[in-house]
Amino acid sequence: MSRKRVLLHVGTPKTGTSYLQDVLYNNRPMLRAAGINYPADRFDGQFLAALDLMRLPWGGLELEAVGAWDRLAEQTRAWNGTTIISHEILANASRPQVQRALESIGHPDTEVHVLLSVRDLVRQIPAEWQENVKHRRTVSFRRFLRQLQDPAREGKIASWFWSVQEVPEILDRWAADLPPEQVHLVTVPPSGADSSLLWGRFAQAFGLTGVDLDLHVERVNPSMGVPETALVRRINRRVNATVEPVHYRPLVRELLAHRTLSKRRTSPRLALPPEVWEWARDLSEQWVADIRSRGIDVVGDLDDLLPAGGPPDFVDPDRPRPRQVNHAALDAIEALLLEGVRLRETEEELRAQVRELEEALRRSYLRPSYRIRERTVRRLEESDTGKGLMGTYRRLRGR
Amino acid sequence: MSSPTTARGWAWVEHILAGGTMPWAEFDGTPSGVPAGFFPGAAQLELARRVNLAGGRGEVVRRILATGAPARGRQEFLVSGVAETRGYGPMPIDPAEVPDAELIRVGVGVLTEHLAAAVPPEQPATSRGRLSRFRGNGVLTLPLAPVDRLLHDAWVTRARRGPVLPWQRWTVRLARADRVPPSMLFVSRGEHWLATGFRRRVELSPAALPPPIDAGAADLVRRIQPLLGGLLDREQRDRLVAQVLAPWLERRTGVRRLTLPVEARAWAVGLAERMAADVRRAGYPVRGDLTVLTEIDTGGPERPPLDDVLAVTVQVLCEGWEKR
Repeated sequence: MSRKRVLLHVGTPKTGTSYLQDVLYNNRPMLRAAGINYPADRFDGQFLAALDLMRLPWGGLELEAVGAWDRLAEQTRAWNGTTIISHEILANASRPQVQRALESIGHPDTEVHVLLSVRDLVRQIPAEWQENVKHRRTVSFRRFLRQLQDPAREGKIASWFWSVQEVPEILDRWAADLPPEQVHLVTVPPSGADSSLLWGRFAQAFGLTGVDLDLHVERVNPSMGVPETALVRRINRRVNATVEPVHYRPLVRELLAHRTLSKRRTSPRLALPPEVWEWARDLSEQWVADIRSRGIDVVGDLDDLLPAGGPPDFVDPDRPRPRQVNHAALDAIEALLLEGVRLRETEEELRAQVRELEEALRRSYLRPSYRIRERTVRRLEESDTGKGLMGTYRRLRGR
Repeated sequence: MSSPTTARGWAWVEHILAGGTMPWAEFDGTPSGVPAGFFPGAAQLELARRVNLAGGRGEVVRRILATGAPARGRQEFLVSGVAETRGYGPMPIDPAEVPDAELIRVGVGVLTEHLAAAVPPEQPATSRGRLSRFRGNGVLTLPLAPVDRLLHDAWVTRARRGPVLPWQRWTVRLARADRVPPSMLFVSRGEHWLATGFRRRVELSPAALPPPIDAGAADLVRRIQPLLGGLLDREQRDRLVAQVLAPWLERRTGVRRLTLPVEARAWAVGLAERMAADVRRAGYPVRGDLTVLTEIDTGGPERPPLDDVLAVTVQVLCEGWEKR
């Protein structure tokens, strides 16, 4: 008989979570055959459940999340094996929300494991700034860093960053009620490590090593360099008031950031300025000491959370080299032009279809009874009294 | 309960749950029993104390302490003297120092959960609405008022119907995109009205202006709307708005109105001039002076004062939505 347990992966963002979730979603039948359930009706099903749990509006997406957590919890309770729940924004949950989540999936009667994937702060901070820029923010890198370093943590940027990135504090909220052997920390290997190493760690932590899974996924969330991020920030400043989020998402985030600018791999990469790098290293050392003292299961190496060597070369994204930004801007213009061409061609095809439909409609209107009615309406609408009669007729017909 | 300070903290929780109003800094005591569960956040405890001060009942206080703050913002306010101080993590604070905005956030979460749990039943449809279209004298009277007042009413209407940006951002965004709320497109409303039947007339009059809705109350409803979107389907939400939030808001009149942010004022004056010219061209009779459209008030606050919003929040937590 299979053992009933829940693996609850609660963060953190920018640690390969999208890849993991896509693999889990795409391989649901194989997983179920192995006794593992990844309950999701759509690829972002568990994201919606997390929004619902945390009462988190998300640009209108929350409208699709009504009751999503309760449904997820019900599916979890009904499965007699291992259930995996994974979304990085769960790191943001408050204590009352954590309590509701754990109780709803059967804690303490069911064996619940909390998993947290983590990456070193010196990479997380610039990555989160870039993520902010890709979500329409216009904050400069320096100001972003100042806000993170302010102990008051006021404002949406700092409060969100620390709520989803401060590892000891996330463990305090999510794992206070669990024995250390049911709490697992997966560390992201340092830059330059073999790309399969992280998946190996995930597979070990989630008990997937013996399962034959297709590891190819379509969705990627690649990072941009310094001039590209600076360019998107400038675009945000220009268009935020005039381009609605529903258009920004496909045109700026998807087309420009993900499909165009992130392909420019030779530009300088984002990094921390030396003094902030040292601050982040000191903070990381305190976190590592805290995590060690908890005695939880570490998959990987806690030293992965400490930056190796000294501060890397810093290229200020608030003062990028104009030539590099210009080149990135030309790529952006080309991508937008090609998209414009594609849309114009689509528009022309649609116009042709409309013309055909209009012609078909016109032919059907040539019947004599229709022409008599049409003539009557036209005559009525030539006078005020006739207009009034038509208005009354239309109201009575509910038109 | 590992230390005397933690014990004092749990005693304060008991004090608050029992209706106590003493601030944390002045409190001393020991708990009567062994506590269970997590220690409530400083924002929840301070809001509960304010509710007690305003005469709230124990049930609502229990709900406040058990509800996590919704939406974005500081996730945890740890209580100084209870939470361990470390070299990292959120700094514990005296609950009295939790910003009003965070107390409002917790209150809004509690109110939204409560609203969503008690959606009024569907009311039987009547023929009244249908028949009312044929009543009256055939005159559409459009409100004649300064353009900022018309914008304020349009914003309140949007807040009543569903999610909308805060007043300041909403008006600046309208100004930058040069967009006009549909209710202020007088000529297109007039033309539509004239086309709906015979013996129709359009006029402008200050008498058509509804009483101003209090900005604090409107802002509370504005904050609740996006959360309701994640808790209820459209039909339930509409019912809740029609039967609870809209009637409540209509009773909150005449207290405080917001002024336009500086960035939107020049646009608003231009809009007022355009509206006046359009009305003159359309030839609608005007009861009063059309220049009133441009008489923008610049004396009030540009955003709802947080203490006003908090006061309304606490009042509704204590009294519910029905009373005024």
